[in-house]
Amino acid sequence: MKYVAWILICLLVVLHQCTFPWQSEELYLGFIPGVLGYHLVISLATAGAWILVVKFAWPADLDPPSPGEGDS
Amino acid sequence: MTPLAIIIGYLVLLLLCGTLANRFSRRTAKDYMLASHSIGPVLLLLSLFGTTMTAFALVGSTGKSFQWGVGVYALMASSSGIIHSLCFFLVGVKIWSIGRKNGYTTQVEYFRQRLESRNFGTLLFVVLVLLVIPYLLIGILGGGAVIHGITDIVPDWLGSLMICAVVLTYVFIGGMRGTAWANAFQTVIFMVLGLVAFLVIANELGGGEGIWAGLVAATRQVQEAHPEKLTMGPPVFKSLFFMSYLLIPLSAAMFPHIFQHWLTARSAGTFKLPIIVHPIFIAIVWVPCVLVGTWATSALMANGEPLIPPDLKSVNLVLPMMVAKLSGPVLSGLLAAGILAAVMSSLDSQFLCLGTMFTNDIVLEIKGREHYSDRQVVLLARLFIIGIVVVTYLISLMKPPGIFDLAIWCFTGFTGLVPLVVASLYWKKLTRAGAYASLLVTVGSWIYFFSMAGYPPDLKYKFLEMLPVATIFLLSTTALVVVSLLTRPPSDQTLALFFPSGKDKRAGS
Repeated sequence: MKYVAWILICLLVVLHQCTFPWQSEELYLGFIPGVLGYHLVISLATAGAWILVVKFAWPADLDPPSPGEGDS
Repeated sequence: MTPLAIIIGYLVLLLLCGTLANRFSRRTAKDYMLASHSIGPVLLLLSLFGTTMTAFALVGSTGKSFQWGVGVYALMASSSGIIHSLCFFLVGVKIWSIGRKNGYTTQVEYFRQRLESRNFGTLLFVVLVLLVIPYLLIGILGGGAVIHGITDIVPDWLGSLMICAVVLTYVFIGGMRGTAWANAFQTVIFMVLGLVAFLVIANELGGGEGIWAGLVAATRQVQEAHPEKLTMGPPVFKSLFFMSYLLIPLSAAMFPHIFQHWLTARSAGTFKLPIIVHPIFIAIVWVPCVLVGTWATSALMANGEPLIPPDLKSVNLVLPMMVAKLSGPVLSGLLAAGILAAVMSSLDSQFLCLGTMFTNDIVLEIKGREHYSDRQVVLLARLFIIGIVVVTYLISLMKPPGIFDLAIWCFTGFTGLVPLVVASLYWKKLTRAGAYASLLVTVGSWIYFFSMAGYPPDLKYKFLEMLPVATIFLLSTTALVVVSLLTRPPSDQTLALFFPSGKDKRAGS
C-alpha cells in the first residue's frame, strides 16, 4: 500500500502536466470551465493521495525520546 | 470612512491577538523563537498556509487570471497543492525530527553542523537575507497600496507604515507564539472574506437573481466575449514552460521562515493535517479568485461599458475594483482586511525569522552563547527585527520599480538551493565542498539569468523555452553531486547526528 500511495502522487504530477483538457470547452455545473474543473479535481485528489501516504508511508521513530520539556 | 474604520478595527484585533499570546509566553528564548515546540496540528496548518500564501494568492491570482485566464490555477495553484505537501512530508517532517533532537532553531544552524562548516552557514545567511528582503518589500508596498486604493485618503507610505507598526508590535510582544496565533487568525480571515467577496460579486454579475444564476451568467459572458480565457494554450501556455513552473513551489522547502515554523510543531504527527489539507485550502482560496479575474475580462456595466478597462496596466487592482464597483464600502473594507491579512501573515514570519537568524547565527556565534542570558537573546532578536523593519520600510519609500515582478526571482533563488536541503537529509555523501559548489552555482546562474531578463524583470523571459529556474535547479544539482563525489564526506560522528542507526541503509542510499 505504501508504494501504491507514492505511485498515486507521481501519477498526479503526470496528470497535472497532461495537456488534453487544455482546450476543453465544457462547463461543469454550468460555470466551471473544463480545464479549471480538471485541475480542481487534481487538487482534491492530491489531498486524498496524501491521506494514503500519511496512513501507509509515514516514517517510524521520528519523535525524539523524551526531550523533557516543551510539550504542552 | 467605513473601509478605513474596518481596517483600523482589524489591525487593533491583531494587536490584541499578540498581547493574548504574550500571556501564554514562557519568557524564554526558545519560546520566543519556537513557541517551545508546542504548536498543534490546526495551528500548524493555518500558520503554514498563511505563511506560504502571500497577497499574491488574492490580488495577484485575480490579476493574472484577468491577463491569462483560468489556466493560472493550473500554473500556480494545483501544482503548489502537490509540491508544498511534498516539501512538508519529505523535508519538513525530517527537519523537525533532526532539529528537535539536535536542538536547532534556524536553517543556518542546521547546515553548519551537517556540513561541519561555520563559514558556509555565514554565506548561506547572507544569501537567504538577500532573497527574503525583496519578498518583504512586496508585502510592505502591496499592503500600503491596498490601504490607499480602498480608503483613498490614507497615502501609500502611511499604509505601509501602519502595517509595519502592527506586525512589528505583535511579533515583538508575542514572538513565535503570537506569530502563529496571528497567522491562524489571519488565514481564517482571508479565506472567509475571499469567499464572501466571490459570492457577492457572482450575485451582482447575475443581476441580483441569486448566486447560482450569477455564477452561470458570469462564465457565459466570458464564453461569448473571451472564450480563450476559459481554455489554455499558446502563446502563454506551452508544455515546457508549464512544466518548468512546477519547480517554483518547490522553493517552500528552503524558505527560512517555513523552516522555523516546522520546528514549532509539537510532534511529527502534527504535520499530518497540514500535509493533507494544504491542497484543499489552496483550492478554496484560488478557485474563486481565478474565476473573478476571468469574469472581469467580460463583465459589463449597465451602460454597456466594460466594468474593468481591458487595457488596465496594474492588474493587481482587478479584485479591489471589482469589489468597489459591485458592492458597498463595508465589503470593500472587509476585503482590504482580508488582503492585509494575507500580506501580514507572511511578513510576520519573515521578520521573526530574520531576527532569530541574526541573533542565533551571527551574534551568538561570534561572541559565544555563554555571554548572553535568555532575556538578552530575546532583546537582541527584537532589536534586529526593528532594524530590518526600518531598513525595509525606508527602501519601500523609494518605490523600487518592478518589485512585484521580483517575487518569481526570489522563488527561483530558493528553488536553486533545494537540492542542498534534500541531499543533506537523504544523502550521506554530501560534502561541504559540494554544498559550496551548489550554493555558488545557484548564485552565479541566478545573477546571469537575472541580468539577461533585464530590470524591471521581463516575466516573459525564458531559457530553452522554460523558466530559468529549471536550468538553475539542474546546474545546482549537478554541481552538488559531482563535487560531493570528488571530495571527502563529513565525519562519522557528524553523520550519526543526522542519520540515526537503524535508518542508515535507507537514508544513505
